[in-house]
Amino acid sequence: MRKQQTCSYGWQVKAAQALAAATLCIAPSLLSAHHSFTAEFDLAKPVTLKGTVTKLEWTNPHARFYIDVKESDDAIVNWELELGSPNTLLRYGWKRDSLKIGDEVVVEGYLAKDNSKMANARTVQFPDGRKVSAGSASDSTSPGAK
Amino acid sequence: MPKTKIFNTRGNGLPPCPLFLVLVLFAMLALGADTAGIGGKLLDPNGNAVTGTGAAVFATNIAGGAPIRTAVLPDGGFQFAGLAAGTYDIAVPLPCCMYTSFQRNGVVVQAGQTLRLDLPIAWGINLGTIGDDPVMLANDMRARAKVPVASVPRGSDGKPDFNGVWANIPDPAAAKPPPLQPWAAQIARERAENNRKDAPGNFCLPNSSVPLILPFQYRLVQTPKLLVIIQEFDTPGYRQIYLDGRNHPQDWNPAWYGHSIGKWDGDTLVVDTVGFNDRGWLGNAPHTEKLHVVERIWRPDFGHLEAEITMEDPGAFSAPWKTTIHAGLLPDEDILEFVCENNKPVHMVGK
Repeated sequence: MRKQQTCSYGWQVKAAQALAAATLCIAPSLLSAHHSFTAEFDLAKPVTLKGTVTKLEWTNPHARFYIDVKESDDAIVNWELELGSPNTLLRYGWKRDSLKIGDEVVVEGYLAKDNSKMANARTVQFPDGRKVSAGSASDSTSPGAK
Repeated sequence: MPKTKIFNTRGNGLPPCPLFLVLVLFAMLALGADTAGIGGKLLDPNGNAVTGTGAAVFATNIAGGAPIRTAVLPDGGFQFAGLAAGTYDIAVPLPCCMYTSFQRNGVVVQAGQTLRLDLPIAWGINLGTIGDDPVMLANDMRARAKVPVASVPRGSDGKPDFNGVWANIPDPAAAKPPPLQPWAAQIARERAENNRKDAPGNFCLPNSSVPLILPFQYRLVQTPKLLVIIQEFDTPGYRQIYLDGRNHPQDWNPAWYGHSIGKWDGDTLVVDTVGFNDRGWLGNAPHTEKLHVVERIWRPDFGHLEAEITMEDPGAFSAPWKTTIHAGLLPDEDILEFVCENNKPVHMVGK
């Protein structure tokens, strides 16, 4: 297996330049996902939502699910939650029925910048208490993990 | 023939004892109170260890010297041992898209101390969305790939056979943007400041005019007269490279991926592409219809594919720009259907 490359061109210069080099070489100038979530959601506005799944969209480039959240005694609000691509989720063990209509879930994410009832999903806690999260450990990303 | 002495293998006549003492002294220094250590874990905002990135931690002593590198372990931990006491700048370069690179300056470590230092890693541009990091997916797929050790296969025409599913190996250095003319640099800056809200991919249009540089896995389908690249996660996701000796057409409607012809230079396939429209993006950089791309593709061994890509655009670049990709074979993976139907640019605010 080929050795993983790092920002080698930056690390050979003196220490004072290292930070600048590191900043440059990690700029996502060529590598980008389908869209930048930072254009859509606000890192400064984390949110935790508890509700009942009402709809699922197992569609590219982003799967989405919707939950009814009881925001007060007389107000139930439907929230839209965005995941990655079904193609990627499938490879991490998600199936289109990993979430089912009627499931009670708790979702952590960041609110939409346009103030619509939307958030991305960075953790999903399933009815049986299992919590699936984003991250590099595929175990924690898979809803099938123990 | 006398038996060779263990500590005198070069036969230079020196007695073994001094070298032994030097080794003992060195070991004592390495383990002793005069040196220091820094260790801890990389933790994401969910509190999980950051693993599987193939990342490394760099410590640079502000008194001088080259950065010291240690690999991030499979459990997200890292450990520096045998450091000189002093003040260090700590850096962790991380590829797009799940995480942001880490930098903390002025970390002081005393002689004899092993400093516990967990590194809080912030989300990258995907804000920690579950299942939305193509680089991580590619890393994970490559990590579990069972690649046979074999020579480069060849087709019936004797040429190297590129058939297979491939994923690029992240190379942050290759993400260096092209040298741009001032007008183009200004546009690239605005796109970055707007968090790429107007990127073609947001509208289910091609993510890149040169799809081979994308982090998404792809299948190469090679015949003697045609090479087809089927790229997951991009639209239209297929690209045809004609190997039948034809030239670029005289009349051609500018296209997102351009028009590609290839010919062999020994075991290297040289792909020449022109005929681009001016609507595609290269990262954040714009280009014009003058864009000309040459991809030199070869397979150094069974499990790897390499490409050296040279782009020139006298309308937008200030100089030709060269980048390389390294890809790993994924023998057990398939390319899945990707119909882009559900992007919602209406919610893209930008800044």
